[in-house]
Amino acid sequence: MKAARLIAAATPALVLSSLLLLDLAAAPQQAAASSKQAGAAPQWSYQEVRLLRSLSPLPALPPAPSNRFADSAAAARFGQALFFDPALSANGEVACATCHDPEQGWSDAKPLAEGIRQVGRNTPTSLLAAYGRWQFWDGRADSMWAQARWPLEHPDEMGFTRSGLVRYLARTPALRAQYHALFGPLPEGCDDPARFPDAARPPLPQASDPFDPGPNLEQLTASDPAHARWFAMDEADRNAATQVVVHVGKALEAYQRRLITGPSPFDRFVAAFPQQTAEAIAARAPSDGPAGILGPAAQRGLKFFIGPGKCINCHFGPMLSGGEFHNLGLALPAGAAFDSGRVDGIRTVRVDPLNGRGVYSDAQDWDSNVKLRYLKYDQHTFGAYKTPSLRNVARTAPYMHDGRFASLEEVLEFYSKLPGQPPSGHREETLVPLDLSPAQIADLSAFLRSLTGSPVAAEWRRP
Amino acid sequence: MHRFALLLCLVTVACATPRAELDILFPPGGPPLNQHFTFEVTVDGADLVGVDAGMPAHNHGINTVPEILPLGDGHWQVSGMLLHMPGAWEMYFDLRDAAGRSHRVVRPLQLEHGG
Repeated sequence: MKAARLIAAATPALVLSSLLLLDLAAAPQQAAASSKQAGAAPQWSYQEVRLLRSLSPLPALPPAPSNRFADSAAAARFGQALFFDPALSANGEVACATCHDPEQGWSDAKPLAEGIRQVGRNTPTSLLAAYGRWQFWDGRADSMWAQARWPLEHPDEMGFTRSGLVRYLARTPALRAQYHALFGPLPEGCDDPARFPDAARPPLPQASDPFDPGPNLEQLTASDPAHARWFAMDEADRNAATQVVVHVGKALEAYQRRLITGPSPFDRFVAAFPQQTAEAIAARAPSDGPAGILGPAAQRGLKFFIGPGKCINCHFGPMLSGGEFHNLGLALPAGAAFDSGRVDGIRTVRVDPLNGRGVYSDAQDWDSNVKLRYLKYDQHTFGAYKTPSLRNVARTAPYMHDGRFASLEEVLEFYSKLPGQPPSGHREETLVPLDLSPAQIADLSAFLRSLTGSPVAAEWRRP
Repeated sequence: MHRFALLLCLVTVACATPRAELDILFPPGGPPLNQHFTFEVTVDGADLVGVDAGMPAHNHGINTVPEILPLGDGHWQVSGMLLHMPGAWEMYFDLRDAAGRSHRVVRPLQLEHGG
């Protein structure tokens, strides 16, 4: 253990003076870089190369302790079959892959998702989603298996039901055999429609609010015949059906953990920087970047991204995102529904019976469940949404939680001017208009396009 | 003359401020970026009753509620701290002394990329 002893009275002055020294040291390099002609590739200082190495390469997938099937190849194969199966929907036409389309960057190229009906938010990509601490724009799921239940059972998305899932697996021999091999037999009585009706599901978890408890059980039951059928089922059968949807979610997680893109041009650029010698560091001499990987525009965009643009403040680390939640101050378009963002995500994940502290988690050790254990309910998260990864971002237009921007250039125009005010909460104070020139927007766009990785292995891209 | 007055003022402040009433013992490698971590705090003559952190320039705090566990002899374990962005943080330690007086100790912390 390293002691960090800070003497109270002396510290501010020391910090201030050391910051001044750093600024002075950096100034000549900045001047040298800005004096270079437009059109040329920039030079890179030792400090900049260090920053680049904090963004690449992509590390190994984090473990998924709440899912003991997460890294099972057999579970991934089962999940793959389910992912592309439109039978898992109310109308037999909507699969996971309908919105998470491999040909559309595992998203859908639409502003708002369209399942059974239009959904209120943009479809996040499944690519690299397994790296996320939280799932959804509002983070209302703390695992990918808990995430999978939402679109499956949401009336506007796939609109499927929990008992319908049991019945479908029971009458589909190939899936029944795969399920059995992985998880054991389907629930006893699964072939009996009196015990497992065709369409029964519980209400989705409601964001709990002490001042607005929402509908009670009777109201929920009355709101949807599928809920009424669900509560008419025997409790043991309800629990058994829930265990099935959890297993299906865990197989879908195992599959989506395979949706990993390979190195991007940006990664190859960073990897090609030579290790810095002590002499080069001491000389503080900026050097040319590796040749032949990123063009001058992408390099200039990258330099601005990690430098004056401060994009790296939120888009940091190998995912080019911290995976937490920020309010950009996006104004509410006329006619759009109010959306509380993360604050409802927090309230929902806490009460979800399928969260990481529930009985369906394979990690029952409360001490290790740091995400939920320490999660704070915080008014600052009103109107905040998850910072998306920028990896593969050029493949997943349109952008933002409501898909309001059709292109990367439109997103950059937003950061250039920061128009409007958020309908709730407050814009993150460090966001200031970047006042970008058309050339800077082109440079940043070129850099963002260099973040597209090599495709997911072919065996996982199809049903 | 002005410079001398300023120096005198600084010396007075330094002498009046209790020295090292609070020590922080971070895990090896220092506080990690964007990962939950546990660390220890040693406090002289007061109880540690609250730990929080924030980024003043961003007007936001942390997304967790850290827990405090007394280890005895003025040592405290703090778990559930998560500094979710690089940049200039402040860590806040709320102390209560034997007379019931509360005060807050603020410690700056610069979190680097790749930390």
